[in-house]
Amino acid sequence: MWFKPFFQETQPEFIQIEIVFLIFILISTLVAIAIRVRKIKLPYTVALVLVGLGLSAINDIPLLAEFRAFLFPVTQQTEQIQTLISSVSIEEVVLALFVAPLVFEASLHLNWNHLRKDLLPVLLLAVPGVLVASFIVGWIIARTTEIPIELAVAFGALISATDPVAVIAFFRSLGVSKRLAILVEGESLINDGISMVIFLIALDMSTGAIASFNLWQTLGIFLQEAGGGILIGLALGALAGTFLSRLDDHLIETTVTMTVAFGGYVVATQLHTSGILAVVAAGVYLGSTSLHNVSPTTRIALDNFWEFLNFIANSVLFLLIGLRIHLMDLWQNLLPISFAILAILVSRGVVVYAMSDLSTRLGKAIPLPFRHVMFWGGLRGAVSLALALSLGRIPHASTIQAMTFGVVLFTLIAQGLTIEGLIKKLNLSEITQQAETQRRLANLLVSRAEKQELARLYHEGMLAESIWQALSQVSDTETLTILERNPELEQNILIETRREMLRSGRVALGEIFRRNSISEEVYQDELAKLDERIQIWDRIEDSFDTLPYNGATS
Amino acid sequence: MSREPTGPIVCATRGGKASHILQAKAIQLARVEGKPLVFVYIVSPGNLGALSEKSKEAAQAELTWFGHALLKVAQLRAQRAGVKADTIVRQGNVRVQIEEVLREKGAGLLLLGASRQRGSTPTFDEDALTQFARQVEQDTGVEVRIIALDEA
Repeated sequence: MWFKPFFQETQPEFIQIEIVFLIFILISTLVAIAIRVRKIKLPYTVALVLVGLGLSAINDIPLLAEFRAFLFPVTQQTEQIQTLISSVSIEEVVLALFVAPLVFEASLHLNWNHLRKDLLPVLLLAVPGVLVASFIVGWIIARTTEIPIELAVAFGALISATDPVAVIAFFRSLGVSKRLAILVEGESLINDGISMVIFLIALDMSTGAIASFNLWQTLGIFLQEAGGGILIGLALGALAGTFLSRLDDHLIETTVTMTVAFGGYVVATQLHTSGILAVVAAGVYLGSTSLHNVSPTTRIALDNFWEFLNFIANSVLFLLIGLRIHLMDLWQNLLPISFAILAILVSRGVVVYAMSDLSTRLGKAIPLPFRHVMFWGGLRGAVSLALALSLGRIPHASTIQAMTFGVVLFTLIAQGLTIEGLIKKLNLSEITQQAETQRRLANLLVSRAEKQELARLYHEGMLAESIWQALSQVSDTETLTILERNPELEQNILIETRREMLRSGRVALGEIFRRNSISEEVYQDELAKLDERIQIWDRIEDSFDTLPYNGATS
Repeated sequence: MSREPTGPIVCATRGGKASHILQAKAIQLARVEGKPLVFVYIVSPGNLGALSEKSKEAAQAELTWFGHALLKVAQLRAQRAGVKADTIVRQGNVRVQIEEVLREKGAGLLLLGASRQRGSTPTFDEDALTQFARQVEQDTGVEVRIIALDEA
């Protein structure tokens, strides 16, 4: 057939990998298009997993395999693809190539000012929370399967890392409170690293690398891994920040951030510390400091680059997850998987509600509806899978991997598909109000643009004065009516107007420079000041979520 | 315990989405009690987090512009309701500047707004706002009222 040459064994492995990658991108694009045109009403990552699962099933399910020859041609190549995937060290690829940049991108955009306000509950959930969850899951698994307790705790640790990608996508589309999004995302970023650290310690105990449990030794290892990773991340972030402050080239600055994301993971793991926590620390540091001081051009370039990389990484990752799961393995391990699902639900419930209670007692209350969403929105994904796959061929590895796949699939499908309903049922969706406000704002801005157009037509001699004045009054009345009915739009109008004023100032400055009325040096200086003033409005808008008087008593 | 305000009513607004509610309540109170009204905005780039020197300058300039624009809108709103309103834009520490304004104007009452977000109870930093209000009362002897700005 025409496509056979693409998969000949004589093809260089690199070309085969490239072809596989292109097929992944093609499938991801098709899924994204299908979702965009609302043909499939599924979260993007869940849809990818199901598609990957479907492709994998074609080889796994005997009945379907019978008809393989008659199916769409690419299915004949799924076995080839799976062989290729199996030959690569997936867990290393997943963590270093995909998870590190995903975590970095999320950290970069995590608002430190918002996170700082809820640092207590986030740390409670991500640090002691993961520890407690690891032991609860470990105890349940050790009692219900033949897996020894140390390895069961290792499983408990790896399965405690939450993956909020699908949930955060819902938050954005439903207009959920920023605070809830910060709690979920903040916890996930930190618990990824903490669960890895606990996993490695428990694994070392189960394999005998650590002879017996010693509290101080274990604490020391934990502090080295976690603390070391954070310190390395902060140091790299500070170093990168120094470069960014001296540069004004969006290409170089984007490259610097890419180096921090990928390089930070490598450096930290080489130094036997947590690569994920290093990347998180670097991302939060840069996002909270340097990113606010880069030029608007660089800011736009960075946002576009990381958004694109995020899309590619997520797409390939979740397709890979689906392809890697074998339905027959899941079927054969149905009982342990069922116990694992029960264990993670119990442990998640205990951790979320207990730590939320503790946080409330310590002064940072978490409302009950938030707790329900945090409990049910604790999806599992890439990090759990990568850690499970890293077990190699140790005893019980295949059972643990099957349990991990089963739990990930359960959370993505059962929880991922119902979280939207839960958010709406708990009245946490502000989309109706937000959409209405946005519609009114759009009407107002369109009204103003119409009035500007009227003025232009009049000044160009295309409208008689009487008509222009009459139509302007109508437009004014419409504008005033909208404003009177919706005074909450006042803030938006003031901010948008100011942005437009500053942008028109930029245009005017350019014209003066082109007429040689000012030197290039003066032009660049004044332009930089204007850009600074345009950019600062993002921070000002964000700050309206902050109450003005908290902490202002000094 | 509340007491009759004896000087002008001072309304400290920061321009949040619900600030029009606070301003409306201040105007209503001033009209009913026949007191003059003073709208205050404090330019405080500290709320924006860590900033470079260039960004601080930009923030100062833009927040000052915003303060003047916001208070002008509030003043026009008051005028339409038949209430005389002054506007003051200051820079610096929020509490210190507000207290100075209260003393300069011989104010009898200060109004602050507390926004309550949907889907979360209790409000963020409600205790901090109450603490702030008590401190101002203690320092100046002026009654401080916190107006709940429940968003529709």
